[in-house]
Amino acid sequence: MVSKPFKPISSQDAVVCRNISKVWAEGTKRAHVALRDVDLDVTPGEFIVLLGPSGCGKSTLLYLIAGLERESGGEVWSFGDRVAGPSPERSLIFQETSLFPWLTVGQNASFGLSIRGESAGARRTAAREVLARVGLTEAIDKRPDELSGGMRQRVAVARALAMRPKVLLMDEPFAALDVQTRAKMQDFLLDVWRDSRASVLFVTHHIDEAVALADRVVVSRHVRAASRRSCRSIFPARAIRFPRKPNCCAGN
Amino acid sequence: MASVAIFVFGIGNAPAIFMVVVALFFHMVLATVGQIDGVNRNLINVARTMGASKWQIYTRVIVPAILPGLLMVLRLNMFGAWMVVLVAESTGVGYGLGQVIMLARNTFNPSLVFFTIALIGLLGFCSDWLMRLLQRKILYWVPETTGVLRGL
Repeated sequence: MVSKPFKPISSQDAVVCRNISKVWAEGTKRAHVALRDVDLDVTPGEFIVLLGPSGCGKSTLLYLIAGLERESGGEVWSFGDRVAGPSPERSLIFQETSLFPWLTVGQNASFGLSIRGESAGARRTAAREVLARVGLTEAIDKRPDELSGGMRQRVAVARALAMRPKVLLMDEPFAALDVQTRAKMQDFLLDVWRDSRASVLFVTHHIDEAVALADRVVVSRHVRAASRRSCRSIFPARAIRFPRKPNCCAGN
Repeated sequence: MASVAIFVFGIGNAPAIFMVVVALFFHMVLATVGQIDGVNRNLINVARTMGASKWQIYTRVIVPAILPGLLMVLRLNMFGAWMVVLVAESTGVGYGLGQVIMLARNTFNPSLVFFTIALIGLLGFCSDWLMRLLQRKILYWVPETTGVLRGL
C-alpha cells in the first residue's frame, strides 16, 4: 500500500476530506460500502463537479460534507473545523423540489432566517433580495405549486443563498428538468456562483453538464466485484481540470 | 367490550367515553406515527442544514407536513367514534339515539327505528361536512381537488 503524502489541513480550505469511508447499515447483514478512502480538497470559490454513474456514492459524499450523515471512517473538515453536523455554512440543494408547500415563495426563501428568529421585516427584505438575485421577485407571494420546475429550483437556490453559505452542495439539482431549462439553469447557476463567491460541489451523471460547469471534474469509478454487496466506488479515480476562459459566461 | 365498560364504569357517559377511547386511540397513534414516517426526508434535511433544532423541525416542518393526512384520519375516526357511541348508547348509557333505537325495537315501532337511523345518518353527514369545511380552512395550501372529486 502506498502511503499518501501528508498534507496539513488548512483553515483556508473550503472542504477537506481525508480518507473518508461510509458503510450503510453498518454491522448488519445488509451492510454495504458506499465510499472508501476518499480524498477531496475544495478551495474557496472553486466549482467542482462530481461525475460518476448512479449509485457510486456521489450523493453520499455530499451528505457527509453537509453533515447530515456521519462518516464511518476518516475526517471531513471545513474551514479549519471538523464537520460534526449540519451547518448553515454548507447548504445542500436536492434533486427533487424540497420547498415547503405551505409557505409562500418569499417565506420559503427566508426560512433559514425564521429559524434564526429574525423579525418579519428583516425576513421580507432578505427574501426580496435573494429572489431578485434569482430573478423571481414578482413571485414572492406565490405558492410553490404555482411555479414551474425550473423556477422552484431557483427558489431552492435562493433559500440556500439567504444563509450566505460558503459551500453550496448540489445533488443533481437539474436532473428533473428538460434540456432547454437545464441549459438556462446552468448559465443561471454560474452567474449566482460568480457573485456569491461560494465553493460549489455539484453532483451529476451528465458529462456535458460537468464540462459546462466545472473548474475541476472529479470522476468516480464504479468497481463492481463478484458479490453485489461489495459493490464500491473508488473516489476520486481521476480529476480533470478545466481552465475556465475568462469570458466564457461573463457578460452574456 | 360494552359489558366490561359498564362493569368498570357503571351506567352513564363514562363507559361510552371509555369505549370510544379504546376503539380509536391506538388507531390514531399508529396513523400519526405512519404519517410522521412518511414526511419527505428532504424537507427535514433542509431544515437541519439551516440549523433548526429538533423542536423547530417538529413544529415548522413535521406538523404542517402531516396535517393533511392527520385531518383525513380525524375524519375517518369521526365515523368510528360515532358508531361506537351508538353501540355504547344502545347498551350502557341509558339515553341517546342508540337507546331510542333499542326502545323502539323492543316496543315494535319500526317507523321510529327507521326515523332514528335516518337521523343518525344525517347527523353523521353534517359532522363530516363541518370537518370538511375546517379542513379547507386549515389546509389553505393543498390544491382544491378537480372535477369528479370536487368537495371530497
